[in-house]
Amino acid sequence: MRRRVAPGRGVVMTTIDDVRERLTEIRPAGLNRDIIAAGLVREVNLDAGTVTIQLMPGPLPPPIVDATVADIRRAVGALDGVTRVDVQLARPPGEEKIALEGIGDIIAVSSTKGGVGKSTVAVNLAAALGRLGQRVGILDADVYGPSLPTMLGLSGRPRVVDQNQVIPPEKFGLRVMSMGFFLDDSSPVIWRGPLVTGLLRQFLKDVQWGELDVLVVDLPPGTGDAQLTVVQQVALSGGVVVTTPQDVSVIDVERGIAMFNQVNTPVLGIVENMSAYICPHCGTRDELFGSGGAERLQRQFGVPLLGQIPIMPAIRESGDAGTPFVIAQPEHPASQIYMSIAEQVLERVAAERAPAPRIVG
Amino acid sequence: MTERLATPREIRRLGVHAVRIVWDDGHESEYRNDFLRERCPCAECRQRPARTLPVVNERRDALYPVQIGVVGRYAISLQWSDGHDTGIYSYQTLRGLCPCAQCDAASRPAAASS
Repeated sequence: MRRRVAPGRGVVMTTIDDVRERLTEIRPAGLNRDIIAAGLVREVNLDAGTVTIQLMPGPLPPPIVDATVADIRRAVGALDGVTRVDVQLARPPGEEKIALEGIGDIIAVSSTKGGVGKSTVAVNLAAALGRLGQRVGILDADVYGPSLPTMLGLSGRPRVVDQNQVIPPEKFGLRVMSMGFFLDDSSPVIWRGPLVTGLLRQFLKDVQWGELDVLVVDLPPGTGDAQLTVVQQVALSGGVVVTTPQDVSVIDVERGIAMFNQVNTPVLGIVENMSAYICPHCGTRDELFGSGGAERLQRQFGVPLLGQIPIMPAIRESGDAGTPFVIAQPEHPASQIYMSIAEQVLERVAAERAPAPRIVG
Repeated sequence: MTERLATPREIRRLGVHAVRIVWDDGHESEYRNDFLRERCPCAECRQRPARTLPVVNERRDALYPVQIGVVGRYAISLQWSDGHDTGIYSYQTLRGLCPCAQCDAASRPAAASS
């Protein structure tokens, strides 16, 4: 089975199995098993006497890689009919951390409960960052209620180019990707949870974001798998926690801060949304939900309060109509608050920037 | 609470024997591979009585991380030469494990036996 003897003169034909068998004899120094058993051989091809082997060197210290390659050449080259041995060193699959080349900082916008206007804050923050001259992308990771397509007036499916690369549609200068582009409105919500992990990875890897200064990620509310996928797998530059002034919401925020702390991601600050009602007619300010919650958090956790957004029907209406408020009414005081939040976010990100560790040897 | 944890600036494999971490606060930690492996934080290893190895034939002192990956901003993952790769070592854990005399003394001042 392994070796077929060709007719005539006992010429032996080498098969891929033969090559693999030879490879099981190769045990790099320090490795307790052969390279096949250790899973270092990704692919073996045999084509008219030329053997091509993809080796994952990841594990091995460089001198041992060299020795291993030499061993492979010698062992496989000795097989009958093999005229050439090509050993290619494969890069390990990007399990370590999703490489997001060309993306400067990734900022997650989170809230530990729904209904606090997290997505509204995320999209306006993104728009404000864009107005500050940043190249901005926004990723809607909220599978349970993807609202970005509505808020930016986008519909239809994004274009997919070769090798399943998705082109993020662009609106108001923001590059946008959302679960909402792919989910049927009628897909039961219960199916969505398990989708999260896989889809998020794809959104981070298979979307052609291009060069971005900032990617704003609108996390689903809560502290479940989706959030963890993002915060664990992606080197986040920081998180922004959205809250409302109600006490209960403040307690939730502690959880949000704890989540970021757990994964060593700096909390850039808190945005208090629906902070006060400003009467559109007389301009009177009314603290509907009480005040000072976010200030208390700031004292308690040392996390800065980036801004307090008033509760204003116009902000939501503008989102429902497909234009972020910051773009629809750039001069409005509420837009100015967003601009100031965006500036602080950039400052804090720059201050917190810690390079990923170098892995050597 | 928001006090920043030390993060590794450099993680270096010292041949097949140990891993050295240079922290951003200047501290250096050197972990023998068997030491790290015995403390593998993955659920499977934690459950195993007396932290026996999954593959009995492997000599523990011969195991070494074949690949080190960065996990988010808070941890590294180690893929061991016997294929075990589910352990995620957070920076916090690693710093707490630092076996240097200084840290060791600080972490358990009253320990009677090593």
